[in-house]
Amino acid sequence: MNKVTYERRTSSSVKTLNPLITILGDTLDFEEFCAELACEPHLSPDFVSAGSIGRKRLLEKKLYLPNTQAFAVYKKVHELIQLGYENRNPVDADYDKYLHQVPINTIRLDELAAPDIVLNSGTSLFITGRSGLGKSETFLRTLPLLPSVALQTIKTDNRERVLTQVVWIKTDVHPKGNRRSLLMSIVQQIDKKLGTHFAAQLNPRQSVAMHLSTVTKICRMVNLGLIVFDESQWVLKANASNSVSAVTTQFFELLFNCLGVPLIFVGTEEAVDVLQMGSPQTVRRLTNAGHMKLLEISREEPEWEHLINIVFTHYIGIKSTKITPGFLKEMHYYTEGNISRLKRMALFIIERQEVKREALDSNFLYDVYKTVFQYESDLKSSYQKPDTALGGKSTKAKNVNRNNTKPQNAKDVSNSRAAAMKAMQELSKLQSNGYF
Amino acid sequence: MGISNMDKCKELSILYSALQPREGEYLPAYFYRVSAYANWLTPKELLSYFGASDIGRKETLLPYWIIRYAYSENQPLDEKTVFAQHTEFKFWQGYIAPLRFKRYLNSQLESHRTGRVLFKGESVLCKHKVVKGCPFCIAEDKSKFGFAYWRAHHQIPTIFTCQKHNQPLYQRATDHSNYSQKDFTNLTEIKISELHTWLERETKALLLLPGFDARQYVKDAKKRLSDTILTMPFKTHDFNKEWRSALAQLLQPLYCLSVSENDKLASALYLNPMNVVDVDSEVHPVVFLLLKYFISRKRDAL
Repeated sequence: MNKVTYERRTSSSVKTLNPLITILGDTLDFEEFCAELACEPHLSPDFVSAGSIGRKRLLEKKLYLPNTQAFAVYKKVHELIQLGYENRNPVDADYDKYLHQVPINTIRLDELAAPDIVLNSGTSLFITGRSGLGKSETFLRTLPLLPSVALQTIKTDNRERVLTQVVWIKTDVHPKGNRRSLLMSIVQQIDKKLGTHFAAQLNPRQSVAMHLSTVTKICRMVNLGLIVFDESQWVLKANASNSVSAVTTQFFELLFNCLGVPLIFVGTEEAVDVLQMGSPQTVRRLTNAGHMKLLEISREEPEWEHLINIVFTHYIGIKSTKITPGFLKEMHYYTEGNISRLKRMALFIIERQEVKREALDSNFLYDVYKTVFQYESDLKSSYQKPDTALGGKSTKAKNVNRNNTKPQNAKDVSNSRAAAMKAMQELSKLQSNGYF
Repeated sequence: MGISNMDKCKELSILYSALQPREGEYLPAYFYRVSAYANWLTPKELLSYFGASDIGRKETLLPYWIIRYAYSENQPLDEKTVFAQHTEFKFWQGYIAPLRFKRYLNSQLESHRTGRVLFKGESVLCKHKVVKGCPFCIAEDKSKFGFAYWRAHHQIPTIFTCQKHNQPLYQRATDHSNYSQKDFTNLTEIKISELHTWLERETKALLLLPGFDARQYVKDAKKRLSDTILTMPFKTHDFNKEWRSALAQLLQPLYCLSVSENDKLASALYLNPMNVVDVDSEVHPVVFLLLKYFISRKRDAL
């Protein structure tokens, strides 16, 4: 836990130093960021002696190559926390205002004041991207670059007080969770960091409004800097039947207004669809600090070549000369530049190679692809082998629903059903040809 | 499964660090503010942090929990600052012998007795206490901090104007537990009379003195008053009777009470004038000051 002491500056002309911001330090530049986060176990001398199980474990759990998108997320997180602390300087009187102006119990959405009720501390950002892009991993790895908990000794009016600062917490939205459980999870994360028992003091008999008021006060007391809500696609569109207990967009709006803490919602693209079905006011509030869309790695980016080189030469063990532009294209075609998909394929290849060493030709890769992604609805057709498919315009991989979440409209439903039927037919053909 | 008070220490430490008393904030009102903020905790749980078990008797000038608070290591101020800045201590310190006050503190700290009082008449006067606030201070606080707080200086029974704004204070009767933000809106202006001005002048002179000098000042004042009473050309019986009826009239503008309640208060507070001016007697300062005012008016009339 960091311990820092600050005093009120005597000169009124100098803008008062905000200890809650100072603790954050300067942002790292891209090189420093990469040096801090890069995890390349294959560079370790012990890697040579790791067997196939060891390589699989290291590939799945350890290998991490930071990219520009992760860096952009890191910068944005840093900026958002800083913005949130801007108007709550414990050395100034505004801090007391922030602590005490807690909207309470009887609050109604239509009576909500503008977001600046809490001095603009509650800014929010939406981060979306396809499943498997490494959104959660990006947060799990970048957030620890920031200080987590600090104790700040503040001297004002000849008095000294020690304030606790929790810089960030990350929690998940559960598909079947309710408002109470979401609020509880926020407090549990704070407890986890501070070793406190605030969660035990949330009386389950009290209303959600009372819980919200208590959670708001706790968040403000511990000077919480940021909440990251992962899996935000599970948030529902507000309607009459779920307006009481479900975690809806309206409830997030309420959180935004009450907590006075910057919020980041991380989710798949379905989260945006749900959000867009809400009122313009909801969209405005929940994307107050913008919307970041994380993308797959493009085929042309050197990052892709670097990644394939590492995975295939170090973890699978093929010669680097085999990694031709065609191979890179082929792998990109199957994985769509998605790191999670690449890892899944690589892990399966390692497993297959354990039994029988096979040449990594197009047929083999296609076979691996079919097996690994056999349950996915948009399985590529056997009649569109990479060589031909990559040449055609119409076969470009589409961003389709990959998260077993419900499609948003009737057209999507019919498309995905058709794709699934087609995949099943192809699978049965492959089985009859003796592929499995 | 519940958690023990020991386990709650960390949470209470975070709470009290975030919500420290403002400069000059009246301590009972501060506790009310913290209690209203942390409404998920009971007053008992909140006070356990300072080693006090409960709020105890409210009708005293220095309740048991305030003494525990002042001597607790879990708050940043020393006991002298707590008493001087956050209670009416400066107002009554001259009326009590230092040794007696020390004994009172020890008995409260060691044996946890909560029934003791410092002065005669203290219970009844504290029971009918009024809360006072300055509308200008309230407005300034609200715009600066987002909330207003009750100042200890304003709660002194014989202070009726704001020292900062030099304007009459606003007051309201209280059951000694209402210090919420809502209560700031329900105050009425004090009509400053000659009595108010006289009492305030007397009090301000005393407030400027340090402890030892204040004690000496009160001793001298009591002695002078005793001499004056002895030289008064009235029969003792008549004088006492007159003082009794004057007490009710003098209390009327100071406390927001009905006529019958005011009479009850006056009879409960009545003491023989010679007992009031006895140097060793510990009578509530308000009673002494009212007697002093009564005698000065009588003397002027002669």
